[in-house]
Amino acid sequence: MPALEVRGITKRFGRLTAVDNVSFAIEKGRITGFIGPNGAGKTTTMRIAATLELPDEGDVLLDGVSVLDDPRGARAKLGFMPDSYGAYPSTTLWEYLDFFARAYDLAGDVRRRRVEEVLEFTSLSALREKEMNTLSKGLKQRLCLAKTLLHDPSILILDEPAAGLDPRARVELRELVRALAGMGKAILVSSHILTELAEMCDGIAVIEAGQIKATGSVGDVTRGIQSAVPVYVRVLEGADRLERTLHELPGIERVRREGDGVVFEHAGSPESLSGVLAALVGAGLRPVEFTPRAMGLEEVFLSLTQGKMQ
Amino acid sequence: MSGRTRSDRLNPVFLKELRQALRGRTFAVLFPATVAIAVALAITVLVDHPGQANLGPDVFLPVIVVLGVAALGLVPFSTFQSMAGEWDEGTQDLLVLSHLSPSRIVLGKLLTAAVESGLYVLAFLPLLLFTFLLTGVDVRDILFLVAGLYGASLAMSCVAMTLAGLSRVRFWRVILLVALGGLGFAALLGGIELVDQFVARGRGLGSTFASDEALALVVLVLVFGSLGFSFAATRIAHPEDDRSGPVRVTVTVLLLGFLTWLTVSPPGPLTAQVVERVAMAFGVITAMFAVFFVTEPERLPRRTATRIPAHPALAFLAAPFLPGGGRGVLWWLLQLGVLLTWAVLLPLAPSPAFTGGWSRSIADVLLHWAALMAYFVVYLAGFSLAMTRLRERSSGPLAARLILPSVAILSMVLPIMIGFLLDQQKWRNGDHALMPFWAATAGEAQGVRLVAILVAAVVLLANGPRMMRSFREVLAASRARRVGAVKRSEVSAHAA
Ligand SMILES: Nc1ncnc2c1ncn2[C@@H]1O[C@H](COP(=O)(O)OP(=O)(O)OP(=O)(O)O)[C@@H](O)[C@H]1O
Ligand SMILES: [Mg+2]
Repeated sequence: MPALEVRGITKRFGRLTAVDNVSFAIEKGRITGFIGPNGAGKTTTMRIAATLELPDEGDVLLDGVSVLDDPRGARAKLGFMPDSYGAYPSTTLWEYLDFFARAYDLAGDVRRRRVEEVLEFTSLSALREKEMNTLSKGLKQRLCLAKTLLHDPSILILDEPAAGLDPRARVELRELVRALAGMGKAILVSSHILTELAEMCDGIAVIEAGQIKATGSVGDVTRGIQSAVPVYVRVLEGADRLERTLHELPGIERVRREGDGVVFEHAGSPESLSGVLAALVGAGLRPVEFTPRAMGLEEVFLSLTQGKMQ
Repeated sequence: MSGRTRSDRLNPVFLKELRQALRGRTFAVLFPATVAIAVALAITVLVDHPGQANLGPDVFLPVIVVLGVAALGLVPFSTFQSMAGEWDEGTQDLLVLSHLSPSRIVLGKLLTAAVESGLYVLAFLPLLLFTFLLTGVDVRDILFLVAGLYGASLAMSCVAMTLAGLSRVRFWRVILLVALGGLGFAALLGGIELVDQFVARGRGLGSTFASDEALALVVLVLVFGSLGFSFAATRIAHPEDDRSGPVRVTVTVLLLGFLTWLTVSPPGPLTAQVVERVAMAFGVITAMFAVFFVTEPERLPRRTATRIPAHPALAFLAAPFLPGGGRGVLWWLLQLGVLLTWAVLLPLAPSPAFTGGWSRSIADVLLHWAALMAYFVVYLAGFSLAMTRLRERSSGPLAARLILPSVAILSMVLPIMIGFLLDQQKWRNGDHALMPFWAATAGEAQGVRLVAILVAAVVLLANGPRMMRSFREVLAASRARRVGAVKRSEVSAHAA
């Protein structure tokens, strides 16, 4: 049984269908990136999974507990970090965590220990007496994560946790999220920047205009949309002959000159690609460069989403 | 569990807000400033009238007005801000996800207001009691007025929490704040009038005049406080949670409380006319609340299913208090039933103040009352039934809540305007068949009353299927819970 299972949820706001029959699942200990442009429906999907919004159709199961039938049971399993910080004025880090620990009915030593643990885990122990409104964005984000962990949820839903963080803070966040997955938690993280998530996630789900465009590992998704790989070849001499030879080989398209070399597109298996290289050598050409150009993550994202505005 | 401390039993929201207040600057600045102003005013009065006797009232009034500004203005304002802040910062989502129930959140904020207000009262009390030494003010009056002000401050804070939850839009926020300020100002003016009566004109607790006013104060505090509290709690709840039930229960409890009090220790003789007026007034007041209930969508919100009692008899009894338009009609009819039972049984009660024997025939009183209620049956049950399709849309209930009273008022006012056009004296005066209060009481309207009751009966008949459905829905949900419980216990037995 997956830890988090989204089953065909649809949510309409008046005439706008913000989420359209979205389904995916996350196993224990896995991190899934939820990627889509602004207004794609990420927050709406996550709020439904967090019991804060009701879907018009479909359901979400958290460890098998339906957010519709048993929202209270589902909430106990869930840590939700919204895209706003949820700060209180004139409150120290420790007071903030102590308050939410009490709100989750943790009492006495258990509460004190738990607050210390999450402070420790997020490396905020030294700042416990600081007022939270004086914190930098990255530290505030870490405090929010600490707050989310207080009741030891088995499923984490993080809405744009890396938004607005500098590279160092982003790396630190990534390490924390990785560590949490290592503890066996299932994690859903959203972003509108694929590169922000690619190194962190085991899988991604791409959403646009309320619809899921692709799911799977980053590699799968990349390969799935990339039917033909562009390959750049440069030979010691005879670029014209190279171009003619390539035209005659099977499984090769769109041959064109680019600078000193030639670019062609190849849609076959890695074996047939190595066959191409062998054929070039066999024809007496002397390749000095032979580089398949995998699409960059940004290009994958752009080719998946058409930049439709909602 | 080990290491439990007393603070574990405190309301977490209360504790949090106390810590914030201790750390924040607002209260730390406002509190001494207010006390300083009051002391300065008192000294000014004393210096202006050296050696004069009976200075008590002259000092008491300005000091309690300053306390009133703090208790009815500053404290509710800070409660409003604190509640509004939860919405703006998105922390209200986080609270909903925790184990805190909406009423515990509201209670926490109310306790904070109680402490804040209490600190003001404690700081002012020595100054106010000092006026007793200046002679001219009774110490019981001082204590009663301060206690009344304290209660009013809490009630106003409850209202402030409701207002803060009504909108997140900046424009409406400002309007709501102005409304809160206006309400606080009105309460302050009313309070000054009361203080004037008690202290300056010597009509304090010892006099016969005071009892009515004291009573009115207690009633206002109870009504505004309890309604403000339950409305504020429903604002925090999820839209698909039960947002209507707490208010329904509160109004019914208030009604029962008033009737009990009227029966046990009525302020004056309970003549048949008084009984008729009370029953009419409460019929109309509950009808105003019912406007909100009958315009709700018909079906049970999805998250209320688990709140329905599994026992069929309990579910049956709970039905009028669960959300849904048809159950709104049931709820109001239940209030009418309570009023009717009270009026009919009253002569049997061993009440010393009941003057005994109806001066008019009981049938007459009941007919008048039934005729008035007949009009409201048409407005509530009839109009809401006609708007069934509209009410199911997303902003339909809101539209229906505006349309329903508008149409009712129009039906009363339009004939008056026509009366002016056609120069019809009677219509112009509002003595026409669509004017409920005329039709219910005028001697010549006997025929109109009968027709109105007949029409209401037809409307109720037309509402029959709707009310049946609303009952059946609850019973079905109750049955589903029983079946679910059996299934769950089977599962756990299996697992064991
Ligand atoms: N309460 C609401 N009422 C009406 N429309 C809404 C509401 N909430 C969201 N929407 C709309 O639904 C669509 C999806 O919004 P959502 O916030 O889920 O997108 P998102 O993917 O989180 O975008 P972003 O990257 O900007 O956070 C948007 O067009 C938004 O305007
Ligand atoms: Mg979003």
